[in-house]
Amino acid sequence: MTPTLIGRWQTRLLLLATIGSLITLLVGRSYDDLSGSFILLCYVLIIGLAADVLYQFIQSFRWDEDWPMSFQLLAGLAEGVFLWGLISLVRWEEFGFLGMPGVGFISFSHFFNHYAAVWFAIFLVTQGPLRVIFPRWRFFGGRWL
Amino acid sequence: MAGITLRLHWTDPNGHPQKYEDPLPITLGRHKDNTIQLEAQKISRWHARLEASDDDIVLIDNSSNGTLVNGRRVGRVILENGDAIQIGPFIITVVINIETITEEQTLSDTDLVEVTLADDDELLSAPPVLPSPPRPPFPPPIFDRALVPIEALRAGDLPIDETTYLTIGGGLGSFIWVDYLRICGIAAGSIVALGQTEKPYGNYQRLCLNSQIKAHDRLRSNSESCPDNIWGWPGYGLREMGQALNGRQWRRAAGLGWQLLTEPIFDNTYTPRSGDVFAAIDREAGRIGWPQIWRYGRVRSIRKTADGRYVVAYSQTQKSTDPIHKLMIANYLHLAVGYPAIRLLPDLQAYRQQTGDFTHVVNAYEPHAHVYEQLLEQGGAILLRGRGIVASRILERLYEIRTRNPHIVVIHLLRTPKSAGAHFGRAQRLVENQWEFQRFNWPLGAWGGPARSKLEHAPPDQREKLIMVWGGTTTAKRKSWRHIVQTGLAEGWYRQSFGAVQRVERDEAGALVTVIRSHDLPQEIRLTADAIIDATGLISHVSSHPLLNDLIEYYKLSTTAHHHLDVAGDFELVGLRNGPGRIYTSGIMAQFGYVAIDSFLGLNYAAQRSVERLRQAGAPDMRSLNPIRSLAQWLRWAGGVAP
Repeated sequence: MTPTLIGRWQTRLLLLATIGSLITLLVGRSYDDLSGSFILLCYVLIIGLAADVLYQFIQSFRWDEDWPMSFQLLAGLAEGVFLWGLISLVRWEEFGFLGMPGVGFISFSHFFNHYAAVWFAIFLVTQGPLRVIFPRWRFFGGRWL
Repeated sequence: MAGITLRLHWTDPNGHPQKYEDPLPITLGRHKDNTIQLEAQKISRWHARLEASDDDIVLIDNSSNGTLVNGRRVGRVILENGDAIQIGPFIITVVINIETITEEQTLSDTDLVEVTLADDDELLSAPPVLPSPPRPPFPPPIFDRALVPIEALRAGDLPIDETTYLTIGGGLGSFIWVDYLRICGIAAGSIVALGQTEKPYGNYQRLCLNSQIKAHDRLRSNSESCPDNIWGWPGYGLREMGQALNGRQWRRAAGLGWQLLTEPIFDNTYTPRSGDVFAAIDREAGRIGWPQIWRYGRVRSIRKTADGRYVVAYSQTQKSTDPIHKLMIANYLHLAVGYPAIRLLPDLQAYRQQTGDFTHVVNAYEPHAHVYEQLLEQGGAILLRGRGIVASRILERLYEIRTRNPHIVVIHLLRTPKSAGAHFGRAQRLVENQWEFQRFNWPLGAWGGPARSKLEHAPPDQREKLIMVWGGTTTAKRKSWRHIVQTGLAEGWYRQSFGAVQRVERDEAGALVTVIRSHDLPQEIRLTADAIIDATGLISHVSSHPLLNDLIEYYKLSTTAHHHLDVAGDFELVGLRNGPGRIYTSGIMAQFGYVAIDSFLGLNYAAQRSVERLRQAGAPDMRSLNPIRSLAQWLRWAGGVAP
């Protein structure tokens, strides 16, 4: 399936809102920081929506407008690194900031476990099971609405 | 041993009855070298040809003024006992008879020559048929009415069956549609599929085998384009990996895993083996009750009925002498008839017409194993035409033979050199040694991604342009094929020539010569080869299909600039709507609805859209494929349980 931008956005929104929220609930409870975890999920969403524009642009250089499945995994890694970088940078005291709103003092292990679980679950679901419940999804560039 | 005998009867211009029997092929025309010479105006030199095809006798028209069978102009048609062939002023009656003879038996008083089409001992012997009595016309005369009254049909002698859903074609397009219907809750007993091959992939497999794709060879199809699984998951790649793991072939499994993760940049695009796809279809066919749904039948004509349904006239005449003609009435029809014919390049067609030589000039989709057998034994030169996926596979086959007999030369004739690939937006296709690469027959995005969305929103002229750029002849970028081309060019046994073909002829020495003219050279170039393989494709001209052509003419349906059916976005033939009755279509003839339709995934999409629309239109017993039903049905698929 080669997604369209609208399709990417819809898929991301749907999966973060469902599977993403479920994992956030579990992780947030175990780290005893439910609100921080959900705010982190929102950042993941925002960065993801922006990253989708970039991915779509990069793929437009390719004739088949796609890239290998492994790149999709790497893209997730890149988004995670970017987000963690942002969180670390913004709470650097020399900058005079107190951290990103809501997730200013999140621990690396919390971030890593949360992000890795969400991203990997979503990757696995888009590679197959999503098609099992939405048989039209793959014919409409990833749109489910 | 059973044989089929063919006899032709006609009356010459002086009123004398004539009779002819001969082994196939039989050629008819004005030229004296024809098997049957027919002299009159408007008859071509090589007008028509009768030949054996599987268990049938087919007539192929080669003429400029046409050949009529039972009053209809035909391109290629399967003949039946009692058919009347009209060539110019001549009306020739066909008598086909099956009988069992022993090989020692000499021809006696019946002076029939046996044309053996099948060694089938189970066939019962039938008494020889002498000039057959005139049989009632079929389809019946009531088919002249635009709306056929049911009572009038019932008053006739023909057996009538009724069904709710009927698909015509019986190939992969029909199969996938039926699969959707079954998954959406329709009972097998409410569906009928009419076709000529028992396996839904029969025709497809025949074309694969002829074009040298055997069970272990890979198709040009995506892992997730599965005719046996409407969800496309798990795809053939994962399943093949599963097989390897089961067989403890760790390296193979790891290789497949790597390929699936890194295609198409670091590895070849994964494509399934044809044998695996066919086996998966067999499994799904069993699960959905296909054997109960499929019936042998050649559909002759379709008409609307006065009660808002459709009546289909079909023939079940197979190997028996007596024609079996039947009618079927259905509420909803689906047409998935595929390609009507094999296309031969015009110069090759002309050569065949002039010489009657069908052995040395072949289309890659025709049976042509004899070409390879001869090459293996005697070596020789092959002239290859076409630069698509079939040409690639033929070249690979020639390379395989060449490893056993190095005295083989391949001349690849191309019309023009190609320096750069098609480009669109920021992307361009790669050209290497004159071969232009694309993973599938359209850019991947044409199935459901950005390309598809651009096409749907483009105004008509822009749409045509996009189709031109994205379509076109390409082949797959497989390492093995690229290696063969490079090696062949370097070693000199594979060479490329460029030019427009002026004619193909036999020279004095009997060699097959292709005369070409290149735009930068004043003189003609003569390319000599032992055989020519035309790998340029199939005909998708809707008027070449007798059944569709009849529908188009009778109900004044519009066709597209590409000579396909003018279908709606949900694949309905709107001009054939009959009250609640609807006719949907699929396959190459419905390309107007979806450019990538001529693929497993395209057929899947067309089935999905039309079945969904049928449900919205209130088709009985049809359930919505909502997420819950979809998941439940997938679980049934996975467990091999009937839907």
